[in-house]
Amino acid sequence: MSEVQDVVIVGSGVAGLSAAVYTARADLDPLVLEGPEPGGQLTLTTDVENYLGFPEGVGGMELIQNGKEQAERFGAEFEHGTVETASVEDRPIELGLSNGDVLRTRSLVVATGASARWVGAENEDELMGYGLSTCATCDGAFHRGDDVLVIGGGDSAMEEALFLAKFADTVTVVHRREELRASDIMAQRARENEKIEFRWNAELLAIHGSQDDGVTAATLVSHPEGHPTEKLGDDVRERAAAGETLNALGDVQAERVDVGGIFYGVGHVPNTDFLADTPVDLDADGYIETTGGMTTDTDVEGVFGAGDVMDPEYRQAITAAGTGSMAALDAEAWLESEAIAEADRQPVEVQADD
Amino acid sequence: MWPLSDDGASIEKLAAESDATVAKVDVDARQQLASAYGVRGVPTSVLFADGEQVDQQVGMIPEERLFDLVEGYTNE
Repeated sequence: MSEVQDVVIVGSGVAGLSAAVYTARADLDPLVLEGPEPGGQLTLTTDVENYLGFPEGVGGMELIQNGKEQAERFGAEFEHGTVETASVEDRPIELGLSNGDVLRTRSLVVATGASARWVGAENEDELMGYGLSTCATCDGAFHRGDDVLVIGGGDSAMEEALFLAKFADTVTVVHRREELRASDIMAQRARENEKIEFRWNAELLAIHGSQDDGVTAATLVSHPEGHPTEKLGDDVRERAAAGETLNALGDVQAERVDVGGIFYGVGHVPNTDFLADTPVDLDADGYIETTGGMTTDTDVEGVFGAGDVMDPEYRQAITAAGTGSMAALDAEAWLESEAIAEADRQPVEVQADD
Repeated sequence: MWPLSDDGASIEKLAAESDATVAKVDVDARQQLASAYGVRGVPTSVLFADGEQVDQQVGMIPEERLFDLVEGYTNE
């Protein structure tokens, strides 16, 4: 059995790193688990212009790498691992990792963030990474001279479109409604870019191509009132996936377009699957519900939430760093109160034999 | 796919502890090479055995699987 940690921090984005700096400085020797998306969403952004203290802006990657260095300087340990199961009511808490390892810890900071949402288009499983991407800053440069699609209508979709316009011949933003959700400044920047076009009331139904050839085409559907896929039956998806040319779909128009790349910018889903069967309370969308007031406490003692995984509303680099430090302080206070309680119990308590 | 992926840590380990020869390619600096192998996402891993390309995968590969992949060709 591994030794029992004081604190395990799950997630290495800005929230996890901030929690690591604070708990490391408190001599709690935190262990930080880096999951499948190390460094979190900030590593996908170019310049962060609104993080306090950087008047010229700071690169998202740079911010994360500096944060990791800072946490390591105070003694935080980093390991690669994805949590699959969590026995949060046991003492110590047990975490089952995907590689079969089991970690034991007195307290747990969940800072697993949120990952890009997938659209649900046909063939997306097969083509993700082969011309289909959720990260323009990672994969945009592979699309020099291509025609590409960006799916979504919010700020992250606009940011992707603007970045892709540097490489691609044309960028078409496909949005299921008639107006953007993006902030005025981002929408204006996108509209003023001559390479960027908009396809309103449209959705991506199927992606065509292969892992060898990459993405070659897409089937788009549109409806004058928006949300076209809601108006289609499941069989239509299968027919589109099989490459059939669709027509006679009632009010819904279908069109096959030749494209070399497709980028998703349709929001995020919190990474809380491993908490689904635990008493940690999740809201309808899967975000951790922290208890009322200014706290990172969850329903389970010793388990704290930080960053985007508990914040569907603000989701800023600086708020995630803020809740990360709060979770660290909450965990530290909780460990202290447990230690005092344990000391009080000691004379009468019979030791369990584990 | 994902930029930091693994910090390259498991690739470094593979280079140090397996029989494989490991080379890293900066796809921004070597765009023609990336394009020759049809790379459209990072990280992409390409495995060669006896001079032939035998495998290509996109996305982060867990350390154990990296070693399994290589050992599949070195333990014959």
